[in-house]
Amino acid sequence: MTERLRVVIGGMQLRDGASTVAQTFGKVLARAGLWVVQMEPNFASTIYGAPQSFILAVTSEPSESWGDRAVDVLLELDFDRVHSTIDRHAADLLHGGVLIYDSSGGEISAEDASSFRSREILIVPIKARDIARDEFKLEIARNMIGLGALCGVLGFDHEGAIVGKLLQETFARKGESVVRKNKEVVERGRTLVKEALRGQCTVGADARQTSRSIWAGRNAAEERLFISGNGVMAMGAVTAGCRGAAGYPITPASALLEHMAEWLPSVHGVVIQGMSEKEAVRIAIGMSYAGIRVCIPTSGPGFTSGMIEEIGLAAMAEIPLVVVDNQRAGPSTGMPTKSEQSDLRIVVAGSHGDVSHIVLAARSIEHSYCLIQEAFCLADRYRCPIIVLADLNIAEGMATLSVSFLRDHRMNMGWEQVHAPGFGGRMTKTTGTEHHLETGFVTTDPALRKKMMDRRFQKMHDYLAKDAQPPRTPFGTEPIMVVTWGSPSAVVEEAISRLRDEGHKAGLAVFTNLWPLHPAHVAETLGVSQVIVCEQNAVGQFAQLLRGVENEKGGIRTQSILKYDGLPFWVDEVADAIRQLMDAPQMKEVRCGG
Amino acid sequence: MADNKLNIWRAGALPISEWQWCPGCGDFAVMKAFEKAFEEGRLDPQKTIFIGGIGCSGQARNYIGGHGFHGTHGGALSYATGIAVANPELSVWVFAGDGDTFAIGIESFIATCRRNPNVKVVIADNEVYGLTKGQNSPTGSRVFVPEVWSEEEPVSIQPLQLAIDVGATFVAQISSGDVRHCVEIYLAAMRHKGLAIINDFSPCVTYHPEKKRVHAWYKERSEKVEKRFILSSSATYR
Repeated sequence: MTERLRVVIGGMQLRDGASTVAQTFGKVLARAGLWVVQMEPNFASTIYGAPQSFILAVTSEPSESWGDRAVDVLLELDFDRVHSTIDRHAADLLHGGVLIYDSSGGEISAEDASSFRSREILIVPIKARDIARDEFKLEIARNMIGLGALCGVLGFDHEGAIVGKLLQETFARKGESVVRKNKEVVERGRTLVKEALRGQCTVGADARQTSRSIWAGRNAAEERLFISGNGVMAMGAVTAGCRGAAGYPITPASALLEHMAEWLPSVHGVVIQGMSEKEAVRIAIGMSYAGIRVCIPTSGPGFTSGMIEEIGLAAMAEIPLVVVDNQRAGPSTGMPTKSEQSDLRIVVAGSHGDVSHIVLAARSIEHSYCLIQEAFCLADRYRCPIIVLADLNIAEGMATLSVSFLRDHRMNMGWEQVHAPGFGGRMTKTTGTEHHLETGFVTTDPALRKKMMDRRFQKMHDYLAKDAQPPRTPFGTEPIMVVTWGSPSAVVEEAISRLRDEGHKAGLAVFTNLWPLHPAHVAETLGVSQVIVCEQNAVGQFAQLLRGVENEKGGIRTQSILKYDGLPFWVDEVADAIRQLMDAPQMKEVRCGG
Repeated sequence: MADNKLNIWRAGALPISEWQWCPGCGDFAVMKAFEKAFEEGRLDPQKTIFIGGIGCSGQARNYIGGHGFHGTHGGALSYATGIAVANPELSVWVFAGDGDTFAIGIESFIATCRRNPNVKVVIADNEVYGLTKGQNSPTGSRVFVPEVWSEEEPVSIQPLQLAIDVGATFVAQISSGDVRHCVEIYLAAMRHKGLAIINDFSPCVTYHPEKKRVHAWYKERSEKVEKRFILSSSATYR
């Protein structure tokens, strides 16, 4: 059982500085030698006024799972008595947990306080806003009091050395006095906690014991980054030789484009923000046709509004293209700041007509770094569009990655010969119409048409034979196989570990190469008695794909675990759902959440 | 253009006997001008990209040497932007119709004018949709009734004014029948560093409701006007 500490840091979006606290806290722990994964930032599709909470899971072993639906420590930065973080998450606070909140606007009600105390929860009211404003004359630093309190109560970074160094790096450009003041503010948070703890050392014991135990397991020997999926995908792209990016801002892909804009110019690359997705992807196609590797980050609405037609063009004209779809809840505008896995069907279709293209799915933030590099190689090798599916949890979530991992996983699948105009050789007529292979001239000749279509799909057969990866099966093949893809992978893996510890014969298959699907991969892995497909959409999109794969045994029967309420899967709910389905093979599905 | 002359701009291109344009189509003259200008401008076919839009005019990509590109409807200027940005050594040309450029491609048009890439755009303006057989086009005048109604009579787009308003740095208008003048303008566009928008009246003899709009009709009604505005580098004309 993984030892894990869940910390929730919340406040009003933009106003209360929760983001800075979460990021700093994550970095402090990463530098200290721990592993931190931050769930997507639970932000609203608005700029100001809505509540926002950051959920971080801290472990001393690497893990991208968020664990059970439970909170050990809650830090509420909202001082207005709105206390939205408490309202949203207090019910999940575990026995023996800790609640720190800004009491400048008033304390929590007596009933709430007594309810917390009955669960042995340590309550630490701190007048952070008042202290920052009146004593330090720096109201904006009130969130850093929260950071100090958090580290203090959990026993992290006792002397403040790591925090101090981070503050130095962050605020150095604003001058020594700002750095010093922030350090003092953080220290004040620690002191306030010490005072609050006097006479209360038996409460909050469970959370504090967990944090001490995790802290003891730290290993600061290697350098680690605390980085988002978007950040690490941008890194992977640049590493793979991507020198062009184009896109239109869309949640949750804007940050990927922004990271590319940060890094590409230094390697003579170019980033273009289109006036729409359509303009962006067309510019990218032009760049790819002219011979450079390009990346187009988008999400569902961008894919459908602007790109579907161009995917068909890239397939027909055989132009390499890498599109990253960071899925969010749909359909239509949907829930722009919530994760989902519901674009699968449309990206598998790709475009109108018979489209020869490849769909891949990242299973974690760490994996997305490797996968995007693979995508560029596959695009050049098979001269077709590659759609990399990630999701908001991966794109906007953050994880700890060691620098040595990033260095060691620079893919070298080789460079393909690139046919680019202007460097001698044959002149081409590239077109989205059906065409003669040699000349590129338009044709409707039946024999030529058939030959070209067969040729395009032969590339897909070649891909299946040479490059399509089988699903990852960490527990081998068992009579009951649980299938998943994308960000739920770590959570589902942990759930199955738990079940196996209880003696159940369950296995796991994590798919990353979603389309085309290799019939042999499916048959070998899933020719078993029960197949349970766990995914974040309402209709079981991947289950439908699996059932469509030809199988000598006459098709696969699947059961589904579905969640589409905007929240990610938790380990406990997945384990419960699997138990239910295992015991009732005729049961079609379990719908979680809501 | 004699097919038997040794001409680098005929290599890799369909011979004129296979060009699928109606007799009298304005685009034949456009091709004459392109070839002459490419020769006089000493362009290298290896480094010349000719992007055709969707429509009759876009077929031109197969009728001339060099590299050809054909994408989706309305996208020509955006593909051109990407190509020009990726390899500044290429000579990038777009030949698209008024529908491709000013209806479905209006966004590309505005965006590309704003960006000012080193691309030369010739719009075959025949004021009608030819390939789809006669619908009204954004540059169609309000005076005539087209064969097929597609919408109520909206105001026509004024391409030159629009181009200047959104930042185009070279704007010209020609009539394809005057091949010599077209060649001059194409050569001037080649010398210009940046985007060149050239609106080219190229009559459709089959679907334009006023069948008499042929080269001669345009010649009678037009005059050569040379106006040059030197704009500041922040370039908005007020």
